[in-house]
Amino acid sequence: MSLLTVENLTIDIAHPRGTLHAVRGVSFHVEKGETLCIVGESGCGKSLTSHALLGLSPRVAKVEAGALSFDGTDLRRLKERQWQKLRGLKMSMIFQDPMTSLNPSFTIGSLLEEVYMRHHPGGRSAARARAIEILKKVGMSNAEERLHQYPHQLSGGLRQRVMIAMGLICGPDLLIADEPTTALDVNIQLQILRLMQQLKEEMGLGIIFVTHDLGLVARFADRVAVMYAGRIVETAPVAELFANPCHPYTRALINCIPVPGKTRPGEPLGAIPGVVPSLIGPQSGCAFRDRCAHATPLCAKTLERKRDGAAHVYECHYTPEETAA
Amino acid sequence: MSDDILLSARDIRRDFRVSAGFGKRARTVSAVRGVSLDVKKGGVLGIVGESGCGKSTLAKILLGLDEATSGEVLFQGKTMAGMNRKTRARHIQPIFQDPYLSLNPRKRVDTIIGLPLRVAGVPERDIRTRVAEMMELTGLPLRLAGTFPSQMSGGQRQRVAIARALISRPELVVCDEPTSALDVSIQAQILNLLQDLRRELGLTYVLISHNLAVVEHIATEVMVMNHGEVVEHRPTAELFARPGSAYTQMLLDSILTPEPGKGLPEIALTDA
Repeated sequence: MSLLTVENLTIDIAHPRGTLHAVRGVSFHVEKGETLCIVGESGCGKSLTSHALLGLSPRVAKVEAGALSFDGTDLRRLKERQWQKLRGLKMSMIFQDPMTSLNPSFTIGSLLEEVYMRHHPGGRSAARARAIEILKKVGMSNAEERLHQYPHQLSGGLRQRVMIAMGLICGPDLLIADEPTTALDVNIQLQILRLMQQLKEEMGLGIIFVTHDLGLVARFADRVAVMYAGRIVETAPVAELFANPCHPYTRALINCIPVPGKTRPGEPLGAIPGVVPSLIGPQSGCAFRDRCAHATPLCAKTLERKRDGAAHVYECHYTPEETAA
Repeated sequence: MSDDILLSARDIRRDFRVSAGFGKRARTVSAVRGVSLDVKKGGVLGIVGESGCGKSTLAKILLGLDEATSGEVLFQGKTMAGMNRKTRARHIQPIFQDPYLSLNPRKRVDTIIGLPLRVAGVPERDIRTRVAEMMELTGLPLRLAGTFPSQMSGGQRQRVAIARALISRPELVVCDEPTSALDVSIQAQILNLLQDLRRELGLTYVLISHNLAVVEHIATEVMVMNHGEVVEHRPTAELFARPGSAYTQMLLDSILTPEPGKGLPEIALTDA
């Protein structure tokens, strides 16, 4: 059984001009000790999806799913109190911006201890000991001293480590990270990624990593789900996805990024013409059709799921040979 | 000085006085420590470095938005110290990182794009034609002329920022992280547009970015900065093939190229 199973997740948001279908039937699973990267551009629904897994959807969002189970628990039936017992203990989240997601008026120590004490009866001293242990684990020097510091006294990289420490202090099975390294410098980003990889191997952590950076995905993911306009258009093991991208959007996305040594300097990049379609009102067919050079009238009507090997699934009427440039 | 140098900076230094807290003596932080550079006409100078290395401060000084503590900026061999802002704006224009912040939300698109001409005192009728020309050149449909920035996508907003920068026909455009707030598919559109415009209008760019892949793609020369100093400054292909310092090597090694199987780069990391 998978650590996390999501089937046919939909998120609708009421909008003055009709219903906004932000997430439109997303299915995936995550195993223990596996990193699933969800990659996509702004507005594709990747953040809404990841927040829904923790019951953190905005109140205006209507979340429905065919199945949503974590370690044998059906998440769809949870009340807020039950969510609170799960969050931080069994599954936790690291947010994008460590500058704004840490409460500035508490010390690092009290932020960490609060998470621990919420789930573990017993004194503050046990929580403090655990806080020091976890800060060391995430590679912070002089952990005892750090406990008395406030978030503003730390650099961006250290703050993100504190976020990760808060996420891991209770030893969860699943960590959901929403663009945790976007605001950081390249070498700090590398430190954080290495840390997450190491923790994954040591603790058998399942990781869902939401990002728009394909380079990062290639180096960090075990499996990848590519999202476009509220659907996963392609999912595959990472090597397979880059060696044999089947959906025209995945291919276009890979061609967009300049790669030193590969793309020719000064030559035009493979930009994707047009913009993401509006998801307000009823949707049909493939959402990428207006930006796709290979679209036919059929693409406006229906969707087709194709399989290329056991773990590689994509949503296109045509095979990669038929849609090759 | 040779004619093909459009802009040069000589030994630029910028110090900031930083308060260390109540009752403590203020200390001096040098953001830029003696930077000299030449920008060749028609070229693209990429400036790279980590956050806090002084690249944005340097850009502000080149644009005249901030004043150097010492050193001088020369445009076509003439010092810019005494040049008034309007003259300066005719020669040098900026494009900023975040098109959600750099456009006035209460003005319509055509007003935003035409502002540099209005400031320069160009008659209103001419402004209208030139705005239309510029919108076409930057790939903005004319029907968007009366809309507000909030009604546009990020890519369209950055096109507006580019149109505004180019309408007064400057020789030099200073782009500070022009694509880092954009999605990758839009980033490619904007990079292609900047390339096309450079060829068509004979522009010169200073491109500031922390994304080395973008710099490698666009820049003809690269200057690497660290702690306010120039680490090295060489033609792009040469720098990428044979980095001349451990710091540059570290930056190059940390690029996450989309090559699965390689894993995370094994490089020595400095402490955060």
